[in-house]
Amino acid sequence: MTTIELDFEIKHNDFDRAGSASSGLKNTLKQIGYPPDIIKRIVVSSYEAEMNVVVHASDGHLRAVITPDEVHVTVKDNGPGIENVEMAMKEGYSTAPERIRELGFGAGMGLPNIKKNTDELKVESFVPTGTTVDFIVRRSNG
Amino acid sequence: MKVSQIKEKLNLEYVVQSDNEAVSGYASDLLSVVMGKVKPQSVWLTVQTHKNIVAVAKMADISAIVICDGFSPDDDTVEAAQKENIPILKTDKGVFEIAGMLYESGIR
Ligand SMILES: Nc1ncnc2c1ncn2[C@@H]1O[C@H](COP(=O)(O)OP(=O)(O)OP(=O)(O)O)[C@@H](O)[C@H]1O
Ligand SMILES: [Mg+2]
Repeated sequence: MTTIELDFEIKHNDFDRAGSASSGLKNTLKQIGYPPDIIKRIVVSSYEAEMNVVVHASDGHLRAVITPDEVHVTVKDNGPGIENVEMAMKEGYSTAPERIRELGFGAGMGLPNIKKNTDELKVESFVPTGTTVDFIVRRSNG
Repeated sequence: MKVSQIKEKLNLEYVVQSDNEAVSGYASDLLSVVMGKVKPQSVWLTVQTHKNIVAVAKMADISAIVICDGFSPDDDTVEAAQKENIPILKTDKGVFEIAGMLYESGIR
C-alpha cells in the first residue's frame, strides 16, 4: 500500500453534512483493510475534531495521510480560536450553546476523547485566526 | 446475540431493518460520552432522534440504535441509517426498563 492522502471540507453549522469527512475517512480505512479497533480510534477522534469545527468554529478542512503504519489527521479551521487550550482539554469543559446541547453535544468530552484515542496530539490555537488539531494513530501499539 | 433476536425478545419495533451481532450495551444522550465509553458491537439506548446519531453509531462501531420513550427518528436519520446499514429500533418503554431487559437477556 502506498500513501493515501484525503482532503475533506468542513462546513460550520451544517449539521446535515456534519460527520461526512470522518465517514469518508472510515470508508477508506475499511476498504484498505485497517484493523477495526485502530479504525475506531482514528474516526472517533476525527469525528470529535470535525464536530468541533461544525459547532464552535468556522469553515475548515480535514486532511488525512494514511500509510501502512499510521494515520496522520489534521483538522484546521479559520477561527475564532480557543482562548485557553489547557482549559478546553479538561473533561467537562464546554462553551456549547443551549440549542446545540439539546442535540447531545456539549459534554466537554470531545478533546479528552481525542487525547485518549491517539498516540500523538497537538492542539494549536490562535485567537482569532483559528485552531489546528493534529493527531497520529499508529497501527502497532505505540 | 443478534439484533433481530433482541428485537423479538424485547418487543421492539424496527424503523431501519438490518442485522448485526450485539455483545454489549450503553445508554446516554450525550454523544461524546457515548463515543468515549461505548464498547464496540453495542446496543445504544437513547432519546436523541437527529441524524448525527447515525454518524456516532458508525464511528463507534455500534450494532444498533434503540430510541426509547416513544420518540421517533427524524426522516433524514432514517435515510442515513439505511444508507449506512445501521439498524434503528424504537419502543415506548423507557431507557431504564429496556436496559434492565437487555441486561437480563445477557447483554452486559
Ligand atoms: N475548533 C474549535 N474552535 C473553537 N473552539 C473550540 C474548538 N474546539 C474546541 N473548542 C472549545 O473547547 C471546548 C471543549 O471542546 P470539547 O470538544 O472537549 O467539548 P465540546 O465540543 O464543548 O463538547 P462535546 O465535544 O463533548 O460535544 C469547546 O466547548 C469550545 O469552547
Ligand atoms: Mg466537541
